Amino acid sequence: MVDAIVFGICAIGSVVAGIAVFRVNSMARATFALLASFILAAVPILLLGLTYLGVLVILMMVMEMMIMLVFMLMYMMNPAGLMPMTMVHNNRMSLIIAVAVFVILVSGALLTPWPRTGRASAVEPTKALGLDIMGPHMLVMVIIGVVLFATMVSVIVLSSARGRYDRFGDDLRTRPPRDPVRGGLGR
Amino acid sequence: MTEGSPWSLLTAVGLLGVFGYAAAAVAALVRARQAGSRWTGAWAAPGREVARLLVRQRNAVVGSDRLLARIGGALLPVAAIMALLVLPLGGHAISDLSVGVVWFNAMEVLAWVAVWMVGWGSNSAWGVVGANRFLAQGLSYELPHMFALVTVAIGAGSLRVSDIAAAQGGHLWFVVMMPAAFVVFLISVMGFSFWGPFDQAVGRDIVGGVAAQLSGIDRLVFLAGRYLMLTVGSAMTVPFFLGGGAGPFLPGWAWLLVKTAAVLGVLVWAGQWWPTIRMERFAEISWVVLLPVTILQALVVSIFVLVGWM
Amino acid sequence: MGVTRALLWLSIPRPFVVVVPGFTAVRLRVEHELRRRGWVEALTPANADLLVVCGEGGHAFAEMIDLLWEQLPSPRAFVRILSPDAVARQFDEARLALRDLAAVQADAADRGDAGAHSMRMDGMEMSAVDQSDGHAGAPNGGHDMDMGDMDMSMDMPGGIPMADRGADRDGLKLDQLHVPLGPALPDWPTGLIVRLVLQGDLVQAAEAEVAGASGGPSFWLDAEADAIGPSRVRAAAAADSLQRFLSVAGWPSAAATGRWLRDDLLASVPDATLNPRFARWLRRVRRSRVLFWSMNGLGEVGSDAPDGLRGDVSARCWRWIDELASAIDSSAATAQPAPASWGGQRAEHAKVVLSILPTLLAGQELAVARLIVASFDPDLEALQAHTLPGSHD
Repeated sequence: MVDAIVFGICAIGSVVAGIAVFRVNSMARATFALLASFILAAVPILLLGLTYLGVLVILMMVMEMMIMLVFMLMYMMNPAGLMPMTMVHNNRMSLIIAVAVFVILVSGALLTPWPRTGRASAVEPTKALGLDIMGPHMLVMVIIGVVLFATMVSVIVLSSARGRYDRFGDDLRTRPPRDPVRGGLGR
Repeated sequence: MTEGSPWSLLTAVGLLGVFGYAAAAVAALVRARQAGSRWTGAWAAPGREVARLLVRQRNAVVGSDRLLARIGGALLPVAAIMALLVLPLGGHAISDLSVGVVWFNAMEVLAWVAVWMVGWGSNSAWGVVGANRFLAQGLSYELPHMFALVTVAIGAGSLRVSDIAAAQGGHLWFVVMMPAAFVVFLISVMGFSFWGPFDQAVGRDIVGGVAAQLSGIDRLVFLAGRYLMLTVGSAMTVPFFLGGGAGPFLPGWAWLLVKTAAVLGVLVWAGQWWPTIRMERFAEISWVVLLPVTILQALVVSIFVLVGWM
Repeated sequence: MGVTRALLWLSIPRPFVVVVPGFTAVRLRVEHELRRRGWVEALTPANADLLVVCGEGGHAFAEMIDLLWEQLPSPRAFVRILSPDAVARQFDEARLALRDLAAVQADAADRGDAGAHSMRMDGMEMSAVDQSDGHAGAPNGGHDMDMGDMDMSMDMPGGIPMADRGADRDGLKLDQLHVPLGPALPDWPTGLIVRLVLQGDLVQAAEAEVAGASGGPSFWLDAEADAIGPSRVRAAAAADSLQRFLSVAGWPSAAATGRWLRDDLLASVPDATLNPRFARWLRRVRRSRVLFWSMNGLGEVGSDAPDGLRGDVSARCWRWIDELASAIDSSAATAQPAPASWGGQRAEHAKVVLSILPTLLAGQELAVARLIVASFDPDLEALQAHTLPGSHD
């Protein structure tokens, strides 16, 4: 009963917060509305008994939204919302697509025959998750992790305007490197 | 005290407040001695500052985002109190979550949100600069901090804070087994409470940064939150690294208080012993030195666990 | 009202100190008095309840002080100090004024929230983000509004114009803020204004100028003639610059001891030995690896500048430390040889600093920019004393 009420509040709250992302003018407020939506969507995971995943989702979402915030303020117009501005483009088509996707997802969630176990398993969910990742899926996890990291590093290197030759000179021998800001180790 | 009763929450928050005040009083005392001022009344200085802030008018800047600033200011002490919920006082935590370590991490990351909101909401160049400095600091200390927490959990074989405290009973404390993780954890406690060498977000060179335009009750709530975060961080060091309530003669909860006071004293001393560390220099150190060190520390502790030494 | 009265009585005032060029003697006495009473200075007017103005300036300064006064939340009190002897008495009076509940309530009655006033567009450079920032109070006699091609007829919220954009060193186009590091800034050389164009916290361009003409004399040059002894005066000046620098570098505890040393140096007789704690303090500052690690390589000044300004921020800091070492550690032994004309040297340094600051600050981060200015600590009073006709050396 309490679970159902909490779930209801979180469900409605996250949708309202999601709508608020597009209604507020300020980029900062939009980000925090999105954060609120994510956190309210993570609370039902806690209700399912998956404490580790739920708290982890909250932790990750907070950090990610703060980093996204920095980029939004840098790149987007109207960061403080001082000028009235419409945030949406191509309204009709997006609305049609959004409603269609929502209908598909809801019908999938309600009509799929989910397996019913009836009671919680004896093993702790966190341990079960860990064993599952480290067991048969370990190779996949390790490769994905390294590939993601390599992608991030290469994107940053490719997008930087200064290359090795700008930093170390034509013979790649200049030490310390010519950087606008000297780092803590003087490398 | 039974687990989860409102009586223990009140006691815990009350103790948190007392220790936070004590930290502020010691800091004021040290400052007075170093400035050559009268230091006999310094213990009352935080209380008199509270009195002053209670009668002050709030500050309102044209075009500022007051909603975000007030939410942020209130969020800082609330995050500290929520992080306190998993601390085992006298053997029982108010809410002994099975993933207490991750919960603590999530609550102190809320400080990023709180400080940024206050800085942004001040509509001041100084506030925005301070807020973004705090995010840069967060990015620097957070990964080594998470690896330090992972190392602690590996050593105890559990994410529950009381299990971690119990795992050190009768054995060598974790501060001996994983010293690098201990140092990184102390650095991150100073980081998320923007204290001492890590107070660039509220630095004097940007005239108070995030706190520049705060006045009255807003300022009181925000700065109180800062001391509460520092105290909670010190308190969590005890079950993580210093054996929880273990020790001769005194009961568990008394040892917890003594050890918390000791860690808090060390952090207050560190706050005035070193100048502020600038993030443009610290970022390289944290990513190139601290991160590999904490990963190596995790490797060493994992080997100890596999071999059976822990 | 009993509670409010009790709380008012308990509070320790927090003053915001504004120094008008030419009144350094008053500033030194004010800082000494604050230190003696244990009153901590406020960094912004928003946190202050006492506005302490050291001296009397011209029309531009009066405008700036009005702007600052508006930004102090109630309860507040105003003190203008014109002579060092009046400091203690005026502080006591201000303390009484702050405890007077009726006066405080009368003052608060006809204000809304503090700082929420409409934009004043005349004669002041606009910061694109925040005009109620006290440090935007730049006494600028001209009426030029250099906001590029801003269309002022647009309906702006609160009258604040939007920021213009400019290229950044990484090729991005970011908003530009015009932030004056104005005369009323804590730990800032008296009378200096540096107008910055900031993108984020990077300085794109900087301009340095002097705020108004100082009517008063130059304190450090006059004090040299006094009974304290010239080497002590030079050491006190070095201590003053060093404590400001340490404060900007984020080491307020060391800066507080530096102020104490400066006050003791100015109050002592030529051969008196100083408290041994100062020797310990100097040793700690000297050996602080963190401090010098964080300042290495900043603000390099080449060999075309005068001797006293060469090197990076650390090198200039070391010169003050050496000056202090000779005053503290060896009172009877070899004192530093007096430079030929110390006053002329300070004036020369200030002039060179004003000319090289724009190039030195461009491209630096805000914290580094403040460290660079603090490492120079130009004595603009000496500059004015040397350039004004008929003034002494």
